[in-house]
Amino acid sequence: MKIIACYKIVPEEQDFLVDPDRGLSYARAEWKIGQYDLNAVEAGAQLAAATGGQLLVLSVGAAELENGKLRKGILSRGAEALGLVIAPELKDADPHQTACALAAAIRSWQPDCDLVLCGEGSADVYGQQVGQQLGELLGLPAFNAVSRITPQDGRIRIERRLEAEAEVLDLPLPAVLTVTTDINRPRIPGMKDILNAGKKPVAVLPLEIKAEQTLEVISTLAPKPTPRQCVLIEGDSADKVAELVGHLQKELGR
Amino acid sequence: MLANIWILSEKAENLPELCAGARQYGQKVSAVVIGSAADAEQASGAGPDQVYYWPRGATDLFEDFTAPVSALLLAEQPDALFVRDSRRARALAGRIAARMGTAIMANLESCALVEGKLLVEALMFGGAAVRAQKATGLAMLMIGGGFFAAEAAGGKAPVAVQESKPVSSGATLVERRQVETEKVNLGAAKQVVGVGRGLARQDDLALIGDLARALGAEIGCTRPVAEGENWMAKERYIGVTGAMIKPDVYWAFGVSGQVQHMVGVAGARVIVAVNKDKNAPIFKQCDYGLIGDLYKVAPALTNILQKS
Repeated sequence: MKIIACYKIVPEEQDFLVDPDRGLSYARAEWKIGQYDLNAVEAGAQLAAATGGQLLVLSVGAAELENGKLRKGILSRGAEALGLVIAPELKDADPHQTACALAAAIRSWQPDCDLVLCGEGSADVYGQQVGQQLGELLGLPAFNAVSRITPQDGRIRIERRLEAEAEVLDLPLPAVLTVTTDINRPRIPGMKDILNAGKKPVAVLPLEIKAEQTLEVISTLAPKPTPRQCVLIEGDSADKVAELVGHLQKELGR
Repeated sequence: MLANIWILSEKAENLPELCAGARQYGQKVSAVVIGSAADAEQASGAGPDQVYYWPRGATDLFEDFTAPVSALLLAEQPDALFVRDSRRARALAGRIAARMGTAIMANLESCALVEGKLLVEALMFGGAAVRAQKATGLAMLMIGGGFFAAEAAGGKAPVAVQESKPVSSGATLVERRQVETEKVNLGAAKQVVGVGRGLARQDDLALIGDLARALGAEIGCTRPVAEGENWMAKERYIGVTGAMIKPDVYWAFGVSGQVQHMVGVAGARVIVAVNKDKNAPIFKQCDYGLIGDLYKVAPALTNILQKS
């Protein structure tokens, strides 16, 4: 089975710089692989191992994808090769543009792939839709909330975890699946995996991206802070705990 | 006002909230129902002007109604489609968005009508940023429970039964079964005790359980406690992607104060933090902070509450 796991890299939100007008800068931020995408990559690696298949990884975005450490990082998780679409138009792409770029990349790079896997949502927008949009654009069955994947002869059986029910479906291949965060526990690559990752092929795909922006961004700001009193008590003796209770009784008026 | 807003919910019982919300921005509200005749009947009384009803058979997949719903959207050209958040609705809405050439706006903080367009503020980066945006075409909004308040509706809207059929993507249903879910309503709780990674072992939750009982509080947690450790049901994690709560008091035990969690408790009247790390970011985001060992503080607090 030839499997493609899609992922997105995002700036580390702990490194955001916030100015007094709530303006945000990512300029000093380290970039990282979206945490929910790691479940898709792990699911792909496990399926490839179980079926004697191969796992490839794919991302679309702007110049940040040139980052060598992140390329090694994604390739150290059981994938054989990496495909990238790097275009300035994809900086801050909306979910529809992202899905269009992924669809174009898959059509040109791996038109014979059997299964495309996505994470539950990106670590920035978390709109939880790219997998579904991608399936529709490719004309393939697409399902979200997938908590188990079992390969069968030329088809796959999936289990979906919905709000209060579980649903088991049989699907023809190829298909696009979005996995839950509890489908697996993503591996932590070892030093050897990371060293080997540097030798794996990276294909930068020469694609022209035509998808128009569908969301017009007016502003991206830090959230309005909620003012808090920040009264601190140091120590955990019974007296200190009683002091805390005293504050609360006063605050809540009882 | 917008001329026409469509609303879509997997469960008809959630249509009154969506309808009341859509009425704030739209002159006409049309409800999409994919379900049973009883669902269509319920939708008809939920306050819309019009119901488009697709009967769904026992083995029909909700998601396979992408083509018929999209075709009617293209014909009717509403300005917006409000979708009540659920996993199946997300699956269907994602496919529809691809056909309509638009992106869904989710994790909403606010929505307003500005110069004839919906201006939507959505949380990003797990709450570390808020993005204001407008759709260039069809505005699709994923609406969480409680975002809009339901209003009493009178009358019955006409129900137009749709002849167009679902189109199978090739997937076939093998089994559907109910799964046990914990019934927690963190959103309505007056007091919530939240647990973070500062708790060393799952067994230690007993300490927190004792305190919660003494307080009459619900228990919640950070995402890693529910998903990485699986110490608690997913229904209990607090944050942008989980429960957004507004209790009178939020008690944070061993919670470091990462934005992904704190955004979920921003609506709390008072935040109390207990953490032995005096540099934990939560001490800058709480009303009362106790720098100490939660293993001493929780039982001491329980003791005081039981005596009073």
